[in-house]
Amino acid sequence: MADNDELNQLWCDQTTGPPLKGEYMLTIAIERANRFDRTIKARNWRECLVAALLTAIFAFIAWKSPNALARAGNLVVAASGVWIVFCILRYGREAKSPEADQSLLDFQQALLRKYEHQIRLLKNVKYWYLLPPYVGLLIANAGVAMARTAEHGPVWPQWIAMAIYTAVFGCIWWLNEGQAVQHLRRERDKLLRELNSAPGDGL
Amino acid sequence: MVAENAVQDSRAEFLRIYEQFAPALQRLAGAYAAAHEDREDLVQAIAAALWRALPAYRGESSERTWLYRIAHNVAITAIVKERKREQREVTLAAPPDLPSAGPNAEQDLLAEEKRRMLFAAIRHLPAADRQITVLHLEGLSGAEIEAVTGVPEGAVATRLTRIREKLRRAIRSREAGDGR
Repeated sequence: MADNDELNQLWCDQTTGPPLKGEYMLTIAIERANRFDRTIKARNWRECLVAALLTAIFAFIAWKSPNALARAGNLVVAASGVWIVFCILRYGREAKSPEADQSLLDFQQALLRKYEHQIRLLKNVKYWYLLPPYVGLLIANAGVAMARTAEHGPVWPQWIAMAIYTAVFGCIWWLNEGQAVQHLRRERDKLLRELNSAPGDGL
Repeated sequence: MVAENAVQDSRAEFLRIYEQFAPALQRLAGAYAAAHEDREDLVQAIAAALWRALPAYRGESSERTWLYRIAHNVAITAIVKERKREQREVTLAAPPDLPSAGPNAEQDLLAEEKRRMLFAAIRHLPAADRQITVLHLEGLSGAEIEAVTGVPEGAVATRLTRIREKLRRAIRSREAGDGR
C-alpha cells in the first residue's frame, strides 16, 4: 500500500450508505437522551421509595416491639434506610459519567477514575449498605428472643430468621462484591488494554 | 417562551451540525465497529450525546474539534461496555459494498478489498492511535488533533509516522494472507 494520499482516498471513498435524515436522527437523539434521564430519575426515586418504606415499616415495628433491645434494633434498621439513601445519593453522584466534550485524554482518565470509584463503592458495600441493617436485625432478633424466653416461648423461630437474614445479606454481598465488581474490573481492564496496547498488537 | 425558543435554537443547531458531519460520523463509527447495526447504534449514541452537550457549548473550541471529542469519547465508552456486540462483530460483519458491474469493476473490487483491510487494521489499533488516525484521515491539522485528544502536536506527528508504518505492515500481511 499505500502512501498517505492513498490512505486518505480509501478512507474518504468508503461507502457507508446514506446517513439517516437529520429530523429522524434528531428524534432518535432526543428519545435516547430522555430515556437516559428517565432511567436515572426512576432509579433515584425507586431507591428513595424503598428506603422510605423500610424506614416507615421498621419504625412501626419498633413502636410495637416487646422490649427496649428489640426496639433499638428495629430503630437501627429504620435509620439504615435513610443512611443508605444518603450514601447512594451522596457518593453515587461522584461516580456519574464524565462530560463527553472533554479532550480524549482527560475523558479517558475521568472514565478510569469513575471505574475506580464505582469499584471502591461496591467493595465497601458490606460496610455502608449491609452492615447497618444486618446489625439492626440481629439486635432486634435478640430482643425478641429475650422476650420469648421471658414468656417461656420457643426461640427457634428467631434462629431461623437470623439464618435467613444472613443468607439474604450474604447473597447481596456476593452479588455486589463478587459479580458486579468483577464486571466493572473487566470493563476497566479492557479500557486499560485499549489505552495501553503495545504497538503492533492485534494485527 | 424563552425556553421554547432555546429548544428551537438547539434543534436547528443540532440539524445543522448533524447534516454537516453525518458522513464523517459514519466513517468514525466504522473505525470502532464492524457490524452495520453496531455502527448505526454508535452514530445514534453520538447524536444523543451531541444533543445533551449542545446547550453547554459556548464556542471555546471549534465546532469540529468539539464534535470529534464527543464522538470519540462516546465510542470509547461504547467499545469498553459492549461485550456482546464485540463478539457479534465477528459473525455479523457488514457485507462489503458491491462493486459496479462496469469496466472498472475489478479495480472497484480491489479498492473495496483494500478499504476493508484498512478499516480492519484501524479497528485493531490501540484506542489512542485509532483516534489520532481517524482525525488525521478526516483532515484535521496537528493542532486540531491536539485540541481533540490532548496529545501534544509534536507527539501526534511522531505517532502518525509509526501508525502509518503499522497500518502498511498490517495491510501487506493481510494481502499476503489473502493471496495464499
